Amino acid sequence: MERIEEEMMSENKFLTLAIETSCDETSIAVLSGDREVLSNIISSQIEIHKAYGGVVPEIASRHHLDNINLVLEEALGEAKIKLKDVDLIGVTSGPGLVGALLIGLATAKAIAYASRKPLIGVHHIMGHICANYIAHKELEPPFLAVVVSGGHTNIVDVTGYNTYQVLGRTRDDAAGEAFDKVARVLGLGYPGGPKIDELAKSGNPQAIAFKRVYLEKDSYDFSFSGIKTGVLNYLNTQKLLGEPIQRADVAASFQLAVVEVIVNKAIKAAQEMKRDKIVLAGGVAANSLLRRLFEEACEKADLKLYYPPPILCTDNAAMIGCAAHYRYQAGFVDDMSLDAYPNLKL
Amino acid sequence: MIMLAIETTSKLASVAIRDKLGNIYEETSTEKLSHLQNLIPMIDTLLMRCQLQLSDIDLIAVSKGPGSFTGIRIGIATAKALAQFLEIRVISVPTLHAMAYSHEEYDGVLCPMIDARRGQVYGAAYRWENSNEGRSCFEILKPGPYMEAEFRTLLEEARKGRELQFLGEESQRAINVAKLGFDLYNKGAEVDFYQIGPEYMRKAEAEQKLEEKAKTT
Ligand SMILES: [Zn+2]
Repeated sequence: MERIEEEMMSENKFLTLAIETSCDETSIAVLSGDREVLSNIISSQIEIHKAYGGVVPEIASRHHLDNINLVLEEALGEAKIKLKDVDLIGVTSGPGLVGALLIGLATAKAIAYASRKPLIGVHHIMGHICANYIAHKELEPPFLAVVVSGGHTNIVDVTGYNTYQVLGRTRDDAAGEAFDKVARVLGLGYPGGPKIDELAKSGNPQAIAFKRVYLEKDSYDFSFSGIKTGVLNYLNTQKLLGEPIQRADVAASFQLAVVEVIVNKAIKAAQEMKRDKIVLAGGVAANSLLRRLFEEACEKADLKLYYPPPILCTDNAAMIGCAAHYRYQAGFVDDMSLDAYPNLKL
Repeated sequence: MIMLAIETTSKLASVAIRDKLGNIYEETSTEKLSHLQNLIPMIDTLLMRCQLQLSDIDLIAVSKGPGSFTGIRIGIATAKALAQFLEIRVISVPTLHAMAYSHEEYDGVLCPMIDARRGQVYGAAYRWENSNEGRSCFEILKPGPYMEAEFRTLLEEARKGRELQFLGEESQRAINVAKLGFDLYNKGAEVDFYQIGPEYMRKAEAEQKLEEKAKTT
């Protein structure tokens, strides 16, 4: 009798513990089933790294180690479960900062080993895409995913929960990286994305015509390294001419130049792959212009648009837990030799 | 009391178990710098060799540094998470001091030393002496980061003409962590997992530079 009850319990509530430490966020989440988030604790180090104008890997690693066990306690507490109740452990295994990744991995492996529960290594980008499953319970593959973050700019054709094809990627800087660099040039500080987004609201996006880089005609790849130089050249020229610099105009024009290319390429890809849904993911998916232009373009092209709320756009463990759950269902389980893969390919 | 000891501060990782009778069993990695991959499998092999379950472990001793920053973190993260799951306490063991436990019979001065690069060493000096409680290890030069030349001068003063033996990586082993760990346990040094942390002995380079910049401006 007791045993049946126990089984019922575990069947109703399959609990996944997920850990994400690939960059400067220490995050641990508990999920029930595939999409129900019981807790999603995110301890951000942004304030610490601000003084350095970017994430310092050694400092990030140190803080992950100092924080992770308390973040774990908090995640378990909020989910009202014990570590021994967990059925599955998911953890980001790459890509990311190797020293940061390994704090999450060492912790996840120790827990999986001690609890004799399956361990799943998760690709960080797959996690970002899965954030949309959490936010939109009805969403199912296939769809076209656009992943835009500090480290990535990818157009991905998602054909199933564990099957996907990368159609385009950045050949140099990620979109978020370009935002950070231009923010630095404009003296806006770190992190650049939200600062440019904010300043651009009071600027004229048509003021300066920064070059849009589309690469070869049929390519879905991106290149954003040139635009920083474009912004620098513009600023220098203005200085030489003794003209005043309208930082808001620069921010708005730069932002439009980046976002326009992403939107146009994504719409074209969705049409070519015959997808009726576009799904945004990654930190830059929180950018207000990106969302607005995608909304307009998707309406025109008769595509459905999905994106997660800002809290699920940033690096968080709930998205890793969701991805881990789908990998587990498909039979991908890792063993105790799981390592950190800083350059893991999608 | 059964203790698990973890040493990941050098190129080769090792783990040890000290059983109720005081026997120490050790497992050493043969692969350099793959601690994250090898640590748990090594613990598993060692437990099997000792015919123990992980749940039989009462206490975890972990080498806290100095040494490889990455290595230190893998050991401590693993120790903390195991302790958190098993609800047991931990002992953080100073690495240089543990290295001196590789030569308990030696009567001269033991000098554990780890290359810290940029002309620096992490070093210390110890001496084993007989006392009322048996043989004990005494510190005669404080563990710390030293400029190489400075360290040699201080060591020369501290040794007072006694015979000297340098200890390197070959002494960074879990068996020594287990030995010192047990001595510390007898002194009541075990704590909750969230109270332990690494002993880097050096700030992150970026942090150092930022502080220097703040000083000059
Ligand atoms: Zn991310």
